[in-house]
Order: sequence, then C-alpha cells, then structure tokens
Amino acid sequence: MNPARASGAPEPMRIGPEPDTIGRWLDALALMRGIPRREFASLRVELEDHLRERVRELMVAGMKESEASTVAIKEVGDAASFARSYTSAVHSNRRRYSMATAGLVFVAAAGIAVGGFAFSAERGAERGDERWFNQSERSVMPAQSEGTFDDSLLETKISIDVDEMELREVLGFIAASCGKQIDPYKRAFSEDDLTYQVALDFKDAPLRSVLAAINSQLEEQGVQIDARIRDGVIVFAPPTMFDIEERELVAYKIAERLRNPHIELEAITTAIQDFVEPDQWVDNGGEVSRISIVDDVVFIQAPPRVQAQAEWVIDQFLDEEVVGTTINVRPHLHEGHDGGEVRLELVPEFTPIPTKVTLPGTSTGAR
Amino acid sequence: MEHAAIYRVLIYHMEKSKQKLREDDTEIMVLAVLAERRAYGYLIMKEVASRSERATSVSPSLLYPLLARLERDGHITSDWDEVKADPQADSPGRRRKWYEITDKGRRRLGQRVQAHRLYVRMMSAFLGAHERAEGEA
Repeated sequence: MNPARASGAPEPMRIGPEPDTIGRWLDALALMRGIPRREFASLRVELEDHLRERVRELMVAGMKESEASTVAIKEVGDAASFARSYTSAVHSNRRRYSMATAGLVFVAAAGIAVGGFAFSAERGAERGDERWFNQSERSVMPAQSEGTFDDSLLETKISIDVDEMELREVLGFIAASCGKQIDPYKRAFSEDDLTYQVALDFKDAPLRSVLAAINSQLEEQGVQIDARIRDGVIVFAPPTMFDIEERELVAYKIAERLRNPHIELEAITTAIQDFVEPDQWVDNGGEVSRISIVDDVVFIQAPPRVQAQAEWVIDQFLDEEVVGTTINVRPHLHEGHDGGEVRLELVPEFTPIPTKVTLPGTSTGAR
Repeated sequence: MEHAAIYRVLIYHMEKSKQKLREDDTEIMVLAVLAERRAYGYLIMKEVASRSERATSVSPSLLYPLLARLERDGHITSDWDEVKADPQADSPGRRRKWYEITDKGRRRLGQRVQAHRLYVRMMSAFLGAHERAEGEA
C-alpha cells in the first residue's frame, strides 16, 4: 500500500498517460546537434524499437516497466554522448587504427628483420613511376579529362600581416598577391566557412606555408584549404577536392611476382589501406581513393602521391631477384677503351642493396 | 630490424589504436553475426553476448553508429519490417530495421579476420616467450 495514501494524503492529480521515459530520451536526442535530420527520423524509430524490445525482455524477467525503462536507457547512455558517438562514427573520415594495423606492422617488420627485403633508400628515392614496374605490370588508364590543376603556385612568395580577418578576405588578398583572379570554388565552402577569422604574419613566405597556417587555425572548424591554378585562375578548395580531381586509375598485375606465392592479394590491399593515408580510402570511410581486386589484377584509383606510396608497399611483397634482373634495362652509351669508340649496352637500372627501407615522399599540397 | 625496434613500432601502433581497438573488434563481431543471418540491432547485441558467453557485449552507443557507418559504406544493407505484440490486432505495430551483409561486407570481414589472425599469431609468439620465461622462473 502506498504510505502517502494510507496517511490520508490526496493522490496526486495525473493528466494523461504516465510520462514516457523512452519518448523523453528520444526527444532529448532530437535536440542534439550533429545527426542530420533526414537520418534522425530513421534512427529514432530504430532506437525506439531497441528500447521497447529491451524493456519488454526486462519485464518478462520480472522488472516493473518504469524500472525496465530506466535500465534500458542507462544501457544506451545519455543522449548527448550517443549523438557524439554517432556523429563521430558516421560523419567523420577519421581512420580507425586497428589491431590489424599492428599485426601487419609486425609482419612487415619481421620480414625486414629476417632480411627478406633488400631495398635501399637511394633506390627508393630515385625510382620514378616507370621504374617500379614493367609496362606489363603497371598500366595507367588514359586521362579522361583535360584542364588539370597546377600546384606550382604553392611556391609563390607572399607577405601578409593580419590580426583577425575573415577567411573570404584573406583568400582574396592571397589571390591579389599572386596576381591572379580568384575562383573560390563556392561549392566547396559554405558561407559560414568563409567567415571564420584567421590571424597571419608572414613575410616573403611560400603560399604553401601560409595555407598550412590557415589550416592549422581552422582545424577545429573542420575547414581545410589548398590552392591550385587552373586556366589561369586561382582555385581554393579543400585538399580532398583536389585529390579527387587528380586521381588516376592504375592496374597492377603483380600476382606472378609475389615473393610469397601464397599471400593473398587482399592482404596487400589491406596493408596499403592501413599504411598509406588511411583516411583517404573509401573502404575506410574516406572519399578519395579506391582499391579493388579483379581476378589477379589490383586496381588503385588514387592521386599520384598516394599511388607512389601504394607502389612502395606493393614492392615490399615482390620478388627481389625478379625486380633486379628483369625490369628497367635501358640502352646505354658506353665509351670504349680505344679512344672514342661508342657502343650500345644494356645495363640494369639499379642494383638491390640490402639496407633500410623508407616510404617515398609525401604531399605536394598545403597540409 | 632489431627486436627492440619491432617492439617500439608495435607499442606505438597499440597506443594509437587504444581508443579504437574495441570498435574494430565490434566490426568483426557484427559482420560475423550478419554473415550468418539477417538481424536487427537488438538481436545483434544479444547474439554477440551469447556467442562470447557474456564475456563481452556491444553497447547500443557503439552498435548503432557502427551499423550506420557500415551501411553508408555499402558493407550492409537494411530494410524495414513491422512487429506486432498481437499479430491479430488491427493497429499498426512497431517498425523494425533489419540488416543484411553485402558481398563487399563479406570481403571486408574476410580482410579483418585475416588481419586479426596475423595479429593473434604475432602476439602468440610473445606470449609463448613470456610463458617460457615464467616457467623457468
């Protein structure tokens, strides 16, 4: 018996159904920022089903409804944390480093330790694209569009000294300093993005450094800027946009050159996606680079910078002897001993030297 | 590479992955459940708890964002169904979202499992050394 009623106190007046704890929690979630409205409607129905099902099970196990609702909601956590967790997982491209990464690091490291890899830093550095693979092993899809971007402007020296200035004005100032018309690539930035304030103090510094400073200040706002010249106009856009525009599709036919013929091509593609700019890959939630295996061919669609690093990873799995003896034999003019005689020779491009391994160069952009 | 250097690389990656380790494990578990049957969120949670003999569980705050991400990336697909407490009742029931793994998701699961096995194999080497050392002591 309710002690309050036993003492004669009036029962509290109740209007309508008992407050619904689950409904209140879902309403609270609706108020949180970050989950797009179009996704929330579906998520709400799904979470309500989850919570009601959980409550039903707890009640079958003997709990009262109110108690079961409280437990079910406590398991989901508070609405703000849930919204953060959802937004971070679904709308962030940040790569999730994994145990897989650690495992593959070990495999690669162990391979180096036992002398399985015999490459030199010099060798890695001097290899151009065409030097890494035979034509039969690496082929590039012909370009499908014209009017490529030119990043040489990033070396342009500019001076800028502003305490607090809107990004829109800063970009205009930079374009004027470079003597170019501006195309702010409006699709890439929202009006709000362009109102962020930045402070800069550079004298005769390359544009690359100025953009890096801007990016550092706007990191928390999620705005990143790079610049290129196209058709004589300066284009400002996020690095990702340029990466997408500059992608090339390359096919690698490497199955017959694998040092360990039992290794799965998928293990190699996983290593590439774990080590080479993991955020970029579509399989990792990124939006720039793709990798897939069809039959025995590995296709990689990525910007040249990423292709070069992916090739380095692939190369770690290839047979050393085959690399050293079958590719990159070139005509070479050789001066004979008898004074001036010139004859044609074929010489290997480079010789494997067992020493440390390094990953080839990084970004050309302002990051 | 010296063993000490290998260790340093490992520790570096373990440290970096600490926050996200559980998320990757969860991904394997969820895809593995869906590789066998279509399921809805709460069912997946129960299945994970059951298979692990209650040794682990997936919290809803981890599960639903993960399902959304997997669906966004094409690793799983979903459709809706209606659930009624009383199948004879005329009133509409609750809507339930069912998930199914795609071919891409199966490939993803295969890659994750393979990578995880490599990791387990690597760790086993160290655990074996530790156990031998403890045995000698």
